[in-house]
Amino acid sequence: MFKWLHRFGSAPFVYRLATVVSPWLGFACLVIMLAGLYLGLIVAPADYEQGESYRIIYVHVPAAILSMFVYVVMAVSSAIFLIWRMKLADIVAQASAPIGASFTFLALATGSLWGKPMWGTWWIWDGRLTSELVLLFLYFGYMALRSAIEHPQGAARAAAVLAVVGVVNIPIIHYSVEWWSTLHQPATITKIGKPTIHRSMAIPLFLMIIGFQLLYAYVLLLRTKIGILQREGRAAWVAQLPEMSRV
Amino acid sequence: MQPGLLSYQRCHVSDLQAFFNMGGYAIYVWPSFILSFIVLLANVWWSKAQLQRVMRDTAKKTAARAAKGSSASAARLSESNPTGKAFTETETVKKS
Repeated sequence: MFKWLHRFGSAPFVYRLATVVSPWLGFACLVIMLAGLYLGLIVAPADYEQGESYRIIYVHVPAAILSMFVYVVMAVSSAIFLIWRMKLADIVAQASAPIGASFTFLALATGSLWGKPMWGTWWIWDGRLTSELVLLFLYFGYMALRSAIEHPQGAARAAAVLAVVGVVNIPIIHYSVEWWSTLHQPATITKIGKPTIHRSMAIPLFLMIIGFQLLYAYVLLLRTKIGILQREGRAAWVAQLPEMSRV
Repeated sequence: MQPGLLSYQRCHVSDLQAFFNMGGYAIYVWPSFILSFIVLLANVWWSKAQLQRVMRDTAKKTAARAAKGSSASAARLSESNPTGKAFTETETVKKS
């Protein structure tokens, strides 16, 4: 069992696994997102309160959920890197940062486009919006810290500490709609037992969330390969890769 | 099945117009979807391009090292080989 787990710490194994798995992830992502878009934009009915504008939910909620999910992945792998000095965990954290930042930006931008017609404002310093903005700055801080420190090992460790400390923001984002209930509406699907959304709207939403997850997994594998090549470029197994003679 | 689905399938011009109009919210709904499309695609495109670039650089460096063929480079290879996998015959011979 542990021997099997141990293989995920080996760069050649993970690199080859990523090469095999990533095209399938990309394909599955495309199919599921197209299905989600079809069901969400064409089949699902309009909302009785918000009319057609609610359809922004199909990109806003997946982006927002993934912005937090990616951060948790980044924080957990940073912790693994700090505790067990596992290089691959650092590569995964580094690879996740720009993807998470782009999802956070997307959640804020689409939220703004939804807020204007529904709340009458692009932006308000509400608990949810502010803590999500803090998340964007955490991602930026992580990436800036990495590039600001010359020594690569020092940079990795400092950025990992920042990622671990910053994870305190995730529960704040999640509970912000309950602690400070101003404009942002409360959770729709994460309510345990009783979702406040009809099936015809929930199914496309779930498909879009899975689609975003798959896209994250796909891009994460691509970026993990980049990280492995940048660190292990001189290793013998890299020279033996078939694609090294092709490019 | 919703009535909306059937009417869109008939594809009347007015239905298409209604679809693009989004109940008057078109200027908010469509930019959201277009922006999401751009951001997701940029993630994939940028990562693929960077991977290609890093692969090309690594291949170039590997070829340059192989051309040099010095024992120093073979020693470096053994240092950075984390799996402890056996080297090719020639490298082992050169080292000894």
